[in-house]
Amino acid sequence: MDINPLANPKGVKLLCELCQMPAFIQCQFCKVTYYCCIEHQKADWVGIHEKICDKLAFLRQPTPFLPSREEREKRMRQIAIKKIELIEMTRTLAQKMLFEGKHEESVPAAMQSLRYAIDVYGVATIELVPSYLILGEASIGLGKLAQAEEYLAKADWTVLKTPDCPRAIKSKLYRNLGLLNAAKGEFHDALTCFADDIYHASEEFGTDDIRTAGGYFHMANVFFRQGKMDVADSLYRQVIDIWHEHLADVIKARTPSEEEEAMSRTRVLGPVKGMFDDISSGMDEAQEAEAIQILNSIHDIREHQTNRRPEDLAQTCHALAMLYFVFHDIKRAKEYGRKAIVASDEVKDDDFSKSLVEFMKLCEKQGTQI
Amino acid sequence: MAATLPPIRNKNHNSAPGPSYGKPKPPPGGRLEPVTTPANAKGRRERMEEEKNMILRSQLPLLRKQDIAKFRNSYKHNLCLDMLTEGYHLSFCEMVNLIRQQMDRREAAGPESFLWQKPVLQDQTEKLDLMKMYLTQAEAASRKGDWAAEYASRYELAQVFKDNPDDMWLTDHFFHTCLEVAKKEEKDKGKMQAEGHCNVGLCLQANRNYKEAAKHFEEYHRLSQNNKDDWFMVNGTGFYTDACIRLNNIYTIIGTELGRTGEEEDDEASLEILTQALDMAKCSQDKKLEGEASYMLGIAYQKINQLDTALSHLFNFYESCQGDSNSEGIGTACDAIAKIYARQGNKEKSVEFLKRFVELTEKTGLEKEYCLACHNLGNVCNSVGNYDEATEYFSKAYNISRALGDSESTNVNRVQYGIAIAHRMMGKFANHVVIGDKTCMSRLVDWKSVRTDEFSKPIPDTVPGAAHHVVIPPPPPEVKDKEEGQEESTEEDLALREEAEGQQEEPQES
Repeated sequence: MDINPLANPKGVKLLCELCQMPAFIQCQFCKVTYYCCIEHQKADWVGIHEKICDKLAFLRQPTPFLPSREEREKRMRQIAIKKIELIEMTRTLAQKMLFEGKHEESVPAAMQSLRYAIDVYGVATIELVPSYLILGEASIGLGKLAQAEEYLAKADWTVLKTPDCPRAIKSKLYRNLGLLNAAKGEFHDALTCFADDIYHASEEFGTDDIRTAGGYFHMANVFFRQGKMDVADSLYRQVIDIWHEHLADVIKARTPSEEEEAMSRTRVLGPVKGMFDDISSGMDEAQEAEAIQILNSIHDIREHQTNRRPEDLAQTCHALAMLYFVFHDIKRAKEYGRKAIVASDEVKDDDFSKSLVEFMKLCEKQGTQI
Repeated sequence: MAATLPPIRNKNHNSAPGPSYGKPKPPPGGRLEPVTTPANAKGRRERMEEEKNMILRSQLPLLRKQDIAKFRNSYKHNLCLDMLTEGYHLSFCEMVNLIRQQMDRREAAGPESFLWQKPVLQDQTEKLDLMKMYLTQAEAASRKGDWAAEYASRYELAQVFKDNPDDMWLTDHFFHTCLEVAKKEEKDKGKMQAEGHCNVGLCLQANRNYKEAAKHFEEYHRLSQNNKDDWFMVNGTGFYTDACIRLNNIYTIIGTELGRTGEEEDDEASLEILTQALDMAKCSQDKKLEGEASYMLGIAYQKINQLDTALSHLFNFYESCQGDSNSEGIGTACDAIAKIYARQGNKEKSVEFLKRFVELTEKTGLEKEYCLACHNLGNVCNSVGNYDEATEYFSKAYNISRALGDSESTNVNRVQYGIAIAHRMMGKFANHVVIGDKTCMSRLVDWKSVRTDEFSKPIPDTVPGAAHHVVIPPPPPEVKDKEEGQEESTEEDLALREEAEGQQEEPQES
């Protein structure tokens, strides 16, 4: 037997945003989102709702009466664009939270993206796959392997049925499948999946792209856990090389136009910041989070490794320093820069030392500016 | 707070049970009963068939995901997966990049390029297999820090692709990586590096990038210089000697290229480089090479009119050829020396060397050189005024070139022969005109009408001393040049010109 809360018009069922149960609480800002309990509202607020509250208000408001056909079509188009924007944003945010290790918080965002993706593209289309993948990854992170497998199987099936599926999606799918297998402890299958990931990513972006580097990193982790240290070592080295080069390029591209850069920074500082690609780093937020995760974990591994080559640690530190520099975290950048210098004392490579010194100078300059 | 993961809601899931095909349903009317077939009504043969199928299916292996992928993916894809799962990611990168490089080059060349006709690397499975094998070997060795083994693998790979001209870019790539590897090795005092430089140099030389090639050979030379006595190749040649020979070779090429442009600065640079080539040849202690280098240098000096220096170098060449009785070389030397003497105006010397040249070629039976020698000698005799000999040599040259069937030289020699005959005739002809008595006139008229050459007969002594009044007109040099320019003239043309020449010079004499 259904109970209609008196305040609601009859026939309107208000469901919780997260669990689809009858809802009793309304978001006081947008007034279009409902929850079954305070916990779910909090979770949604932390996860995604804070960022998309006003967007949802626009999308969910009742359709106004528009007399002319053109106006109606115009509105339809507007809404479609808004929805796609929303999908992109929620996905990026969810991915970012995943890289930061906040698996639970990323679920609401992923669900939101999935909901709107179904709305825009329909069921069982290739556009839904990224959302499924994020959900799958979150499930792996939460240790719910069966559920993760379910999500990934769905993604896998969709990909299989789409013959001209973009390689980028395939690469992501295999990366998640690999993570799943690794979590299950099936290292051999995990390796095959990561290999597939790397293959597709290389075909799409090139072998030395930061988007390929993730595959190498996960593969290295598997080898590491299998105890094949030499292979893992060489893979980690390649990951660091890729990031090092990329970051060096970013910094090099930025340094000549410092004033321009400073201007863009003040402009970005508004509420818009964090929603779209960060202009200064040339990466989106998910990639930034990924960079922090990957570089930090490699740094940890290198620090605890006893028989490491000195240049490895130095280069890792340098890459990390550059990363923080790109994020305007000058203090940390300097800290890692100093570590890199200490580590590079053992290395007899003049070019490397020179680039380090240049970098430190840049840090000083940037530090005084701020 | 617990954001539980909601279950997947399958929106398109059809909850209503679909029509089940297993059991036939009775028609809605309910009056007709379905015809039930007893289970054992199937024919015996059908049952046998079914059993056989079951057995066959049970024999098939259970396919895992990877096995299915093997059938679905391309060959290259599978190869890459194999390499990656074994942990050879650098090999993977290298191979993928090589394949991509080729595709890019093809794209850049445009759809009409001939590159599209050639098979691409990713379709040539056996090459991919080879590459995989050697590259993984190399990577394994490199991980252990065993540079020598890595070098060997890469070297092998380069050798594999060496024979096919389409794959030269692969050879180049692997030789370059060889050099990179060799630079890391410190134990063998740079022997591997020297070899690497040599190989890269050869690649560059084949690609006509001579300047870069020279740099690598210089490096090779520098490295091998310190270990002259220790480093030997498989065939026993020392590295140092080899380096010298290669350097000499590349310098000679660069020098000739520079000399060809005709710019004055380039000429000087060319001389410098050729001198270096000579030095290298001296270092290599190969007399023949040294001789050849001297010859090149001599020719270069001759070009910029430093005849004495040129002569001294050419004499070096001559001697070196005499040393190992290289008759062809001696011939070339004689020819070049004679030319220089001719330019200096020293006709006797010039004739002397040309005669040596002729004798030599006659003896050794080098037809082509013989022809050339006769031609040159004829030329010199002609310019000296020794028309009888000139005629003789040109006729020889003409006959040989005709026998050889070389139409160009035949034409040249034909013209020269005609000129020589005309010159020979000229003196007597003029004599006849000068004396001008009845016999002379009748001979002249005869020659005019039927070309009977009776000028050589003694003139009857009507005017005392007239027979001794012989005037040999010096040949106007510009006439000769003009004749040489028109090599393609026909015989009729020639006869006309002879006549014209005779008539032209007539008034001068009279």
